[in-house]
Amino acid sequence: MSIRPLVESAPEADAPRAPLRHGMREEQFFLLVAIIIGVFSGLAVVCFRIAIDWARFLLLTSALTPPFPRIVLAPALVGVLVAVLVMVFFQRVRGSGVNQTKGALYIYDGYIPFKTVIGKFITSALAIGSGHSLGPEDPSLQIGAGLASLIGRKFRLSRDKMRLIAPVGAAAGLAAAFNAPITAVLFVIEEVIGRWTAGVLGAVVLSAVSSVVVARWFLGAEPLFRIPTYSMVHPGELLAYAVLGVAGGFAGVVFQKLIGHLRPALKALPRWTQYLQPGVAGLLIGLIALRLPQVQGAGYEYIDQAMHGQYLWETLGILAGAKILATTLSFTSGTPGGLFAPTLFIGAMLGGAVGEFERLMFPHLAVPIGAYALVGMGTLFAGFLRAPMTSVFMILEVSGDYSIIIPVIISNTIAYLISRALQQKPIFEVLSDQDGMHLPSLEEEREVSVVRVEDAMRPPSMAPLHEDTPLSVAAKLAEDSYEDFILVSSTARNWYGISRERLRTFLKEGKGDLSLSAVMPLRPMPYVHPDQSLDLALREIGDHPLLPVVHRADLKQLVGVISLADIMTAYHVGGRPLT
Amino acid sequence: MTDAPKCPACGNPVSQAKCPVCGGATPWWVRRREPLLLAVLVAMAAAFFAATTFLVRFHRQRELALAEGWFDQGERDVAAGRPDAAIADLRNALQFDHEDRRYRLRLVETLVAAHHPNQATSYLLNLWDEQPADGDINLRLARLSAQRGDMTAAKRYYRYAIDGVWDNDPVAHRLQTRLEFAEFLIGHEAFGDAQAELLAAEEESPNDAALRKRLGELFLQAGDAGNALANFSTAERLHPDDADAVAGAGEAAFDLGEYESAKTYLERARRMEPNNAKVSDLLQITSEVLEADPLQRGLAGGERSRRAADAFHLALARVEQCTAKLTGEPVAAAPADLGQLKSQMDAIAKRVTAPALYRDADLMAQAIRLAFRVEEVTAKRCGRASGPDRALQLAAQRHPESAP
Repeated sequence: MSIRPLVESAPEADAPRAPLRHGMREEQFFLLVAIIIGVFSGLAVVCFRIAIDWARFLLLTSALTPPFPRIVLAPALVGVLVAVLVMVFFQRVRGSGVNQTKGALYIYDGYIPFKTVIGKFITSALAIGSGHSLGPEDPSLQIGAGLASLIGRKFRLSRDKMRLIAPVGAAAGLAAAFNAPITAVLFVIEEVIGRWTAGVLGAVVLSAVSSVVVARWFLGAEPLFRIPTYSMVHPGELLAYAVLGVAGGFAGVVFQKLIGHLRPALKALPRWTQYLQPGVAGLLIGLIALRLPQVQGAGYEYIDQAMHGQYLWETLGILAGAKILATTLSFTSGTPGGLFAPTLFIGAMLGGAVGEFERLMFPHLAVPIGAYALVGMGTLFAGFLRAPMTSVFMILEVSGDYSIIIPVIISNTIAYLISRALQQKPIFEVLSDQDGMHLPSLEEEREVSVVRVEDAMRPPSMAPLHEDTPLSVAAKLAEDSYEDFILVSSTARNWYGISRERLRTFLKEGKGDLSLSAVMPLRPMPYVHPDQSLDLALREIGDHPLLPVVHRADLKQLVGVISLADIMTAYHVGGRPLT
Repeated sequence: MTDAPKCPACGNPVSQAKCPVCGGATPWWVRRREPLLLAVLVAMAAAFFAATTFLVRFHRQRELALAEGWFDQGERDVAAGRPDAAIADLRNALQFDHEDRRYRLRLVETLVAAHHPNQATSYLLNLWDEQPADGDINLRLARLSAQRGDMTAAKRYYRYAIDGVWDNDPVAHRLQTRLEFAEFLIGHEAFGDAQAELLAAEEESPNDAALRKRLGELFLQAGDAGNALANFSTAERLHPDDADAVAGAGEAAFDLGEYESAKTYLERARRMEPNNAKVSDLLQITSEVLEADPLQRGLAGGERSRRAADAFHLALARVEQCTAKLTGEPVAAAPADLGQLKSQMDAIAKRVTAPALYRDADLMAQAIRLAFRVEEVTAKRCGRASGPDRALQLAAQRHPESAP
């Protein structure tokens, strides 16, 4: 039984794709759909932000420090209301929305019910507006993904494209919420898709950009935070940021472990308690807020204050700890809402605390506290959410200041490594496992070692013949070879093959004086390179007994051969061929 | 990629007006589903866009109203002397309109008033990043830097403020800023820099009495009595009834050693303000100088020789006092220069009388020279003198040509 190749061996040999009925190619149509998704997602996120503000005005008033008893009662009572809405009407809106979107991609063929979009919008706006310690970005991601799913269904996209439509919408939603398209694209690739694939990158970028354009049209292009100017004065500052990285790494682990332990414990309680859990969480958050009102809501205005040196280092440290606690309570109780904004808040406070403390100990390191707070945000993003690339670009994008890049990289890398050392799985993977979903991740993909052609190939038993070689000579040489299949190279750097049996047949027919080129098939055979994955070789080999493995810089240079048996052997023993 | 449209009758894929399987007619909206759907989505997006525009405008108006309300509350708290409450109100205002310059500057002022200079500086630096050439912001930063003791930053921001952009009456703002900068430099004993700024300010100044008077005061503080006198004179000329200008001119003339004109100014000033103790004291010293100076122009011979003799004997007593103060022992153990002077004076002391000096011009010159030298040396050794010795000391400074 021959194995049909799953990919074409030469692009130029592709048959033209069937165009859509109206002359548009498939890829172009998908990009157009991506733009439409971006527009709708941008509009939806703008409305979502306004809804959160209105909820806040209504429930907590317009003061940064809400008055008593609203500060306590609002999150408690709204928590109960949200719980009822979630349990009765919108069962799929629990959680942040990231894993739910990823689940749509990998499990449900891109299907997200529109009801989920509505439910997420309403419940998250109420929860965040009432003071629960959650953020709007993750729900925005899910809202965007849900809208994308709806549009994709209306267009009756194929299954392959429907799977990809959710991350397209997710990037749009997140980009509009953050006002940061690069961050959104990177995060979706790192966390939602979980692998680097060029196939959907164009659509993801287009949707993110179009949603940001829409969001900026309404909300302005100003960054989320007004960042003080930073410039490195003394190399000793880098050590200071390294310390911040250590602190951020440990804080991320603590935060993750709290959520990881409390969430399943609360879920294991009787079902009737789940109607009350968000309310109780809200009550506790309200009580904390009596002393520390900064822990309520997303907390961006307080990040701004921390960046401007409003708090002492002790206060900043306490705020970081209190926010970890408050967010754990809100999130684990099942209240819909995101983790991004709280992560940034905790990081900013922690960064500010470390920075203030270091400034007291080492006054000559006259770095503005805002720089530490900024780097702290990225540090916790890397340490808790385990999205290192996103965390670096996010800081660059929200600050618009490239000079901060070295401290960001140092601090983020240290936090990421500490988090990986102390916590095997990233938070989103922990949450998806708890929900009974096993979803892929970029970390998982990085852990998997790739088996390559060079791990399975073997040296050819005879040198390849040139196409000008007479058949009689070729037949004689073939008789002495261990291989039944002889490789033939051509002047045009193509490769062909001929079996020993066929050579004997040609000789018997008296064609010994002809050259090999006269009897070669029209179509050359595929070849591979040593560094390519064995998976590719498996797809290329098809019916061929052997595949030539050729040098990348000289396609006529044969470095080895590989057969199906060699490939199977390599997989069987984990990538090491039998000698 | 997309499923082909299906015939409504038999459900088979169809792309033409007639289904090839059942022959049923295919409505155009089935055949052209995708472009129709695109058109519908575009229309929906447009409608959504319009609705969102309305929503955002309404929301923004509400936010601006809230911001203004909190700002007004903040103003009331400031007026009532509640800076901490005002800070909270202004932060509430800024959360709704964080680009409003008025709110931000008011918050800065309130933070300064509530003794939070670091926070105020941080907010101002954000403003400075957006408008680095703004004169007002630079001036505020200069003041905050001065308050924090950061001299380098203060100087930098003052200079930026002087060269910066001012919204209304930039000339007046620049001038006031320059004067403030000069005061700052004087306060930190950077007299040379201060004089440079004052000279620039003088060039830019209109002929305004108050301004000239202020310039005069600052020049005086910066040690430039000449320019001080010029400005005070101008101020006095523009406003002759200004007692401060007259007194200032008198003081400047005194510092320049022009005691005759100083006396004129100071007498006028005392007539205008009889209770001004500083003027009275200065006038007294000036008079003493003019009365004690043996080399005063226009003196009669007898008066000159009398003054010379008095000056000599006054100086002799002074040198004995100073020597005693320094050593606590008799002359034999005195510092060399004082001892030498004492010896020279003792050598001619018996001969120094008014009549003798009247007859002997050389003796008078020597006596005056020794007296002046004593005052100069004892001023360095034993500090500034007072009373008649002070007058003699100042008289000596008028005549450096008489120094030995």
